[in-house]
Order: sequence, then structure tokens, then C-alpha cells
Amino acid sequence: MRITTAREMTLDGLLPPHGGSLGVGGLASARRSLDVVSQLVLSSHGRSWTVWDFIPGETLDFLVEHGVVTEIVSSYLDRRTTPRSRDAVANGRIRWREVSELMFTGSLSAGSRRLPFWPIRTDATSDVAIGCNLMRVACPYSGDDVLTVPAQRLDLAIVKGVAVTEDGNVLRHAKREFLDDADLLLVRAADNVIVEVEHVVRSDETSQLETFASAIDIDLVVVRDPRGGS
Amino acid sequence: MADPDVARLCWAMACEIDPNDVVIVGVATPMALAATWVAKELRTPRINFVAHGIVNPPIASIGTEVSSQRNPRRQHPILSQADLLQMLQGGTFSLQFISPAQVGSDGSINTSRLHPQQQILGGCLAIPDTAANVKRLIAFRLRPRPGFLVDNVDFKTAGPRTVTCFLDSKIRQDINTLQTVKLPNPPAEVHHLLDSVIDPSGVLKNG
Repeated sequence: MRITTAREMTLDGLLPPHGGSLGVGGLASARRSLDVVSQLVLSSHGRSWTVWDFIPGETLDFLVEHGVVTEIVSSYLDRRTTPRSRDAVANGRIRWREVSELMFTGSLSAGSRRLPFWPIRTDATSDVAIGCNLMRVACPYSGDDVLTVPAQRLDLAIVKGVAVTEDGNVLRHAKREFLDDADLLLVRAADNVIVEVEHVVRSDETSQLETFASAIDIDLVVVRDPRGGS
Repeated sequence: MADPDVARLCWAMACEIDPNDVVIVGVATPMALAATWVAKELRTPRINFVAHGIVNPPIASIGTEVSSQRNPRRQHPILSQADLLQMLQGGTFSLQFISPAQVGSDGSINTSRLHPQQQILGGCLAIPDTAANVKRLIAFRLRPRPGFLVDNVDFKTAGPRTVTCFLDSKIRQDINTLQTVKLPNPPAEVHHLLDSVIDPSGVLKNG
């Protein structure tokens, strides 16, 4: 794990391969890592990826506009925040794999634990489930039919924190935000993880903040304002 | 004076909530949030509900607007996504109001896309999941476009099931039995609550 600044960041060795998978944390316009996403585009050099983003916002449109997206995996494409993505899907330039919340989290839950699949209880008659070719397995204990989603590992996850300690632990505000734990699922399902934070704090200066992801989980922390503090 | 269509639909939806219900309010459904608050204030004060991850948020403590990071959510304890999905699959939630673009005659629901242009409507969010786990789904539209109630939906975000539907602000229909009921006018307290507390800026009249 290394800590760098937004100005000095390089993403060498962390970019997904062409056709690989990228998980983008946040919800709609909240908790987005704009500096890292910009650098990702600058470093892409013709590569494009499948982007996992549960409820995308403007960040997805930015990636689409710069031609680094071949497929979107999400539950929603909002007309106000993702118009370019919607257009790209409508004219066939980008594929949209529409998934439900349980399908999205189930795939990443399995991937994060290196299990082959995850059982979920969703509507199997839905065109969403049919479009994802969900398979059933027989429960080895009861024989009951169980619907599953396949595991998904991500080549890279990009998420947002508030601060990083000098030891490399990433912090967020102690009071939760809606669906903020979904970001940790991306982190644990990814082979490489980049976290963007606002500033560095000393390990004894963490009031109002709590650990979101540990140094063990993370490959690169990008600090937007290295001179800032809590 | 609150928009009369808003008040009538909101009251009719509130009257669907039973005292033992646990209501899950999805994103992008401010009318559902308003109706649940109306029910809790005027009919069934002991109901429990979850909105934006918050359990029983006090009336008007979060906006009826959808996305809104302006909402002071951080003032309230919030459930994690893992908690919410565990509760959903565990059968905790008994009622959800949804606002699809199409409802089929077999109870199928479409919030995803319209043929033949493949026009994207928004997406499924958790609707396939709630359809399989929430006991009652009630569909509504304040001012539906033509083609809201159709023989076959263009895309089954959720497949056939029992659905009650508010076709507009005047008619309630059980999709499966075709039984229809004209919605009554709400008591004056509903107008007052919407005007003064829940929706003073009139967000809900935009549907």
C-alpha cells in the first residue's frame, strides 16, 4: 500500500486490462472519486472496461464520454445524471446489464469471499433475472431449489474516503450515509483498490471519524489536499 | 391548499397501510413517503417503516425529494445495505408502494424500458427483489401516461403477481380481479399535513 497526492499519482500496475472490470464506489452523485477517475481516463490508452456501479451518477457519464466503457452493470440509469450513458446504451454503443440490488451485491459478496456463487431470493420470472441467465442449484441439505448469482471479481475498485492515517487506514465520518457499506463490498471483491481521500490525519487525531477500510485492503491512497487536516 | 389529486391519492395510499405493516419506502417514490407519514400521523401511529435506510424517520425529517443529498440524513441512525437486504430476504417488510411506467393485466411491472424504441425508463433498482420478498406491492401513478395499464408490459421488471393499482388519483383497481373503487376525498387534516409539514413546496404535484 502506498500513499500519494492527487498531483503526483500514477496508476501504474493498477489499471484493469482491456475488457476487464472496474468497480466505482458511491451512490448517484455522492462519494465519488473524481481525481482518480480523471487520472484513470488519462491513463487508459485505448483500454475499455465493464463498469460496476450500483446507482451511477455523473462519474459514469464522464467515463462513457471518454470511451473507456464497454459495458455498464447497474440497477439504474438516471436521466438527469447519466444522459450520455443512456444514449450510448440506446444506440447500441455500450451494453447495459441491468441487475437488481440483490444480484449486484450477491455477485460481489461471492467474489469477495472467493465463492463460486451466492444464493438470492429474487423474482426468477423477471426479465432482469432472465437477462442475467441466473442458474438454480439444489440445496444439498433440503433439496430445495435455490436461485443463485455467479461470483464477480473486480480488477480494480475506486472508492472515496474522508481521510487516511499515516498508517494507511482509511477513515469516514462515523455517522453513516445511505448504502455506504456497498463501497466496502467493492473493495473486498477487487484485486486492486484505490481510495481517494481529502487529507492525512495522525492516528491519534481521528475523532468524528472511524475506520472504513484498513491498509490491508488498499493498494493506493490518493490524498487530494496533503496539507489539510481534521 | 394541497393539490387535490395529490391529497386524494396520498390519503388512499395511506388507507392501504395496516396497523401491523412494515413499509419499505424505495428511492424515487416521494409519494410513498408522504403517504406513509400521513398514515402514521392520522390513521395507524404504530406502523414501522424504513425510508432511505432510516427506521421511522420523524415526519418531514427527510425531504420528499428523491436523490437529495441536501436531506439531513446524518441526523438519524441509518441501516446498512447489508441490514436492509437481510431484512428484505428475511421477510421483514410487508408493503411497498411502487411507481412503475407500466402494469400488466397479469400484475407484471415495468420500470426498466419501453419497446420498440428500447427507451430506458430508469431501471429495476431492487424491484425484482422486493417483488419476491415483500408481501404486498401497490402500484400508483398520480397522472399516468397512456399505456400505464396494458395487457402485456414491454419488459417484466417483476413478473406476474397480485398487485393493487391506483390508476390515477381517482380509481383504485385490483389488477387480478379487475374490481375497481372510486377514491374518496380525503379529510381536511390531510391537506393541512401536506401543506404545512410534509410537502410545503409542492414537490408531489409533479408526480
